[in-house]
Amino acid sequence: MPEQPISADDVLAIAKLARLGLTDAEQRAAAGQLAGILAHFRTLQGVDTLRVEPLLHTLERPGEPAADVVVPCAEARERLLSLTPHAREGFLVVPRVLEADFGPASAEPAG
Amino acid sequence: MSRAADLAAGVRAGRLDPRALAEDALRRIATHGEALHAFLEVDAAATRRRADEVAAQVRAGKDPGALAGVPVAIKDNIALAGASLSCGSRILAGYRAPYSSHVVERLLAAGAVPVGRTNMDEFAMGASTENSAFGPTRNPWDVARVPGGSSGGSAAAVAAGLVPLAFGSETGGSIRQPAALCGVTGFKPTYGAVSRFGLVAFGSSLDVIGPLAADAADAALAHDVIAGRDPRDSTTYPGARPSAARAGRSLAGLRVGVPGEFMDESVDAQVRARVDEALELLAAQGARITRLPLGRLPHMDLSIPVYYIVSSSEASSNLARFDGIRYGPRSPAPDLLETYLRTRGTLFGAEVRRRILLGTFALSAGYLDAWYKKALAVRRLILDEFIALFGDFDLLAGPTSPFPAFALGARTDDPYAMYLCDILTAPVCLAGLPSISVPCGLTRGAGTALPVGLQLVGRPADDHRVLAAAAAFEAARGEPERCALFGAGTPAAASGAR
Repeated sequence: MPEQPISADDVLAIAKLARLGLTDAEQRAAAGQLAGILAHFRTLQGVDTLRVEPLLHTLERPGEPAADVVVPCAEARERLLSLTPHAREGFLVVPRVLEADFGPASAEPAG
Repeated sequence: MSRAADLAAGVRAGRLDPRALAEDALRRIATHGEALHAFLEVDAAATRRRADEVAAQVRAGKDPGALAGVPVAIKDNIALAGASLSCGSRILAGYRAPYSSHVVERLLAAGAVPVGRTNMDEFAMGASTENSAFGPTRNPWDVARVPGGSSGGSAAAVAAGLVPLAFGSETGGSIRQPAALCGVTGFKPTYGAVSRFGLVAFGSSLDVIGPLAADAADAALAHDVIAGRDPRDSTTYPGARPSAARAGRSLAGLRVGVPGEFMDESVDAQVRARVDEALELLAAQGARITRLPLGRLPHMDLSIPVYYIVSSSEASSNLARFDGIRYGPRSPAPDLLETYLRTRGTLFGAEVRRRILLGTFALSAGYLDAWYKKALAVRRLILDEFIALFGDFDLLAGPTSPFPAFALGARTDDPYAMYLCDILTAPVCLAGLPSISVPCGLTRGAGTALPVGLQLVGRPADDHRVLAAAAAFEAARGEPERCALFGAGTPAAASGAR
């Protein structure tokens, strides 16, 4: 169990895992707030749960497998594409994920 | 505002015109909507089209269903095809649902007329609606106060009589707590009783959808429409018993336990006084009330840490899909990682970022056992303690919220102070139990009189008993106090039904 209050560096690492870009000031503020919250939550650590099974949710029965039937997808391509401002020529434009030397460089899509 | 049940009966009998009901709701929203900010979107044209559809069904001799012509408001995290689905977040600003949720499908099949999308704390994270990226909703009893949250828009809309019926979602108290703070009836069904297909996920092991209504009979009517098995949500179960028919049943012989943990000195004295009076009324109606000393729910005081660790962990995973690529706006950046960081860093609000950080922390290597798994184990202790109580009692009772509606801004500086709003509702969510908040009077003394909510909690899948007991309580108590806006005379009310 962590005894140290959570540091701004810890927050930086967690924020990167969570894909959250924070400014330095936001990192410092988050570290203070998380440390404060975890200090309240530390009471949990005093409970003896050695012989207690974790409860993932309250319906502890086996799930029912779905019937293996093909159902039509009613969603027309055009309607789905109309939901994004980043559609072009019938495709969804996304930022490049591969380095340029994996193939011919394409224009960076506008945001 | 008339009851949903009466309006539907009037429409089915051809006595009330769905279009007139829709116009009435639209007019009320236009008159009071600005001041309360209960709605994020009202689509008057779609509302009128839908009302006319229902009217045409009646003219054609078809029965539109149990909610025929009833104007309903829907929280902006429950999908209605073509409508806003912002979840109160800038990261989904302008996003429109490509399909309807199971709940909306059921509502439309029952003849309901959706009038608008209600305001909420961003991604349902909050207890005051102040975390909405689009500004807070105001409490119709006192616009300087919060309506509670996260379903604050839905609660305010019903309390102010803008619509007779609204729907919300609850993860830790988000239906019952705003219902209590606004003086309406809010029902949280058993986990799994209502399909979440089309609900934007927050804490998947906790999330449920339920009604906010003027009384328990309307809540039962609405619950019966939306509950039941849906193959698209594997937690749903079949065979829910119809509640509406049972509403109004006698309270005689009902064994009601009042855990000491629900009535300790941290609960506001006025809240305890109103709940005490409610318990006396239940006893006078023949219920057998047992006040329990502290100690029957010994781990309930850990519900806040358990709830915030479990729900935030689940949220950190569920909200990973909002990356600027698949939904909503994008903050442009030179590479993909930076696109994620900028989009999520700038478009999620402060509380959502905080919970994603907390959840990611609790799930991260080195902390998983100490925080997440510890919380899951204590969650089981809390469930087991509730189940043990149900060996002795049919229902549990207590206050819904430890305090009445508080001033806007009063709890925004301290996240933990806001988390404490859930202290009497989150344990019930952790145990997945059905529970209702019903109005039980107003605070007295200096300042604005504010509504207080009585919470009733039932066994798993005992939703009908909770609803029936609440209806019986309301019948014994008589018409609850309403805020000034609620009953304002209108053609629909005048034509009607009560």
